[in-house]
Amino acid sequence: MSSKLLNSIFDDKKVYVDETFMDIIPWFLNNRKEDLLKTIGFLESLNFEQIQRMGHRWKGTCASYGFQKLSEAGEAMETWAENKKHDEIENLLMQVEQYIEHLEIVYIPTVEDSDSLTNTH
Amino acid sequence: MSLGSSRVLIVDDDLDILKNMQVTLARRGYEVQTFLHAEKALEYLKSQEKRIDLIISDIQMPEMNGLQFLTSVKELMPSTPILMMTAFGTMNRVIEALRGGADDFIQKPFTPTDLMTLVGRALSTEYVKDAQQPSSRLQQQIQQAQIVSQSADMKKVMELTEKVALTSANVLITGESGTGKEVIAQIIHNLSPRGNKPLVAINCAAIPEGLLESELFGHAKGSFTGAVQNRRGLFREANGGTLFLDEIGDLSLPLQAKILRVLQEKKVRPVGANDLYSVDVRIVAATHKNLEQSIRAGDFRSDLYYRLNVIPIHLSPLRERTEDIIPLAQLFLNRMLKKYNITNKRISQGALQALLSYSWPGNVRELENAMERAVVLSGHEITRDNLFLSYHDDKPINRKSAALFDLLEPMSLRDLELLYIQYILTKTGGRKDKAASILQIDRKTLFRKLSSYQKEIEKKETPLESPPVKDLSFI
Repeated sequence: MSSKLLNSIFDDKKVYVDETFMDIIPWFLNNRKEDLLKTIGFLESLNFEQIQRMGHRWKGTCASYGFQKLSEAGEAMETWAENKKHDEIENLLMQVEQYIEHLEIVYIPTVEDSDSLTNTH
Repeated sequence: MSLGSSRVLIVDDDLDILKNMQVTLARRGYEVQTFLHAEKALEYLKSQEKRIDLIISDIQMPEMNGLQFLTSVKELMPSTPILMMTAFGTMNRVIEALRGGADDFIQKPFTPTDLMTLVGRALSTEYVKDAQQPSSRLQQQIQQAQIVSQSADMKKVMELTEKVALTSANVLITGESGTGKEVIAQIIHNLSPRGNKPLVAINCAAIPEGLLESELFGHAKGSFTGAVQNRRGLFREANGGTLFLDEIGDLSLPLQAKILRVLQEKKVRPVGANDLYSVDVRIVAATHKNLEQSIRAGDFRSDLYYRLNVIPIHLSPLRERTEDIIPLAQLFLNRMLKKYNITNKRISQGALQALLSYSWPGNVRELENAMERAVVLSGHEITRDNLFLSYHDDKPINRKSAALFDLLEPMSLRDLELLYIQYILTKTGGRKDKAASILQIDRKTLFRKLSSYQKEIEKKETPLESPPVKDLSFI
């Protein structure tokens, strides 16, 4: 994924999250902020292996809460860490930090039945 | 089983995932026990403090990993269903988990709906009953589909198909054209808990791309010329059941992206419509292409591949499972005799030899066509000529040529030369110029050799005096 494309992903800061997670979203986002701090530390010490692991975790976890874009960021982080792309990772971390700070979360009911009309978004 | 009495134990070293699942399940009345370490979970299970109705475990964990945990759990509580979580990087452990006794898979990332569907299915009494009696149902399916599985390869395929069917995981079936991918897809659906819901099939290579999107996702009336009414689309038609996407390797990249979105979000938006519709389908996809190569070439999306290839099933080409050739030929012979209301026809030794040594580029489908042709055009006995095989002469078996020499009876240098020439021709797809180049003889020499051998073969028609293969006692 190119930096340019990644930047455009974070333009829309509205996220639709299942209301099941309403009570734990603050905890989840706080964990992501802690992850960001750790990753900055890893970047300073050029520990790309740990950054790769972090990216891999984000890729598998964030979309489960409804944060598809954070999962995509995780995928980018993992790929760039594999290729030791320092500047791209640094730019990504700044973008993600901004994104989390300015998120607008909209809680939606869980879809229980299949083939049912859902809200358009 | 009422939700209130269902206890679920979850193991994952990722606290975010544990919390996610705990909140989702607890909200719906399940009692949930969570563990960050598999060893602690195992201690708890051994203590039998409380009955556990379902276990969910990640595969990749430090110290004791998910597969080791699975083995221990199956020894301790063999009848308790266990779901394994898969992620990027653990796809290759899925088959191992299946063989280790995993009952189903949850693919990360997942939505609350995904989780609830899988948990509900794992705990349903119907699922438990089906899981206890898979083999007899598989045998019934094999009989109905008239599958031949004498070869070790096909036996493994059927064993895997049986296990896979009971899970809800997506399946990617690979193999050359004519190997029976659609038949396996049908069996998977029939044996699955979705067997009483629709199986909808589409060949992605057979429909023009412009129409394929509308076929898959539906369209709104008036959304394009010819859209005279609303159309549901195949994803919605297959809702609750299985969608078989044949020749998925032929999809364009834009359409791959759209299908990926549906798989991720479990929602479809018909062409030209504003509304989104939720869908619950199991995907069985098939392709003759090597998708890993396609990914490297930039023709197939790796993220879509990951979503589709949760459980891979590969069907070997017919030339690599020669033990199935004669039983298949006999099956097709009987089928065609019945179809054409003919009695009493046999296959000559020469024809049997030709069947065994032909390379079958069209695989089982080609064999079936050849047998049908032979039944119609032959007399009381089917000879080699009645088969009308593409190159009119015997072709050596491809992959096992080294082992083939061990199977051969001693033969003259001339016969051995013929065998090797035909082997090279198979490798080059029949291209004589290429074959001559590999053999380091000129094209004329090659042509003369083949012509002289052809005359000898024609003289030696049924029965063959010195068959190239040692043992035909299974015929």
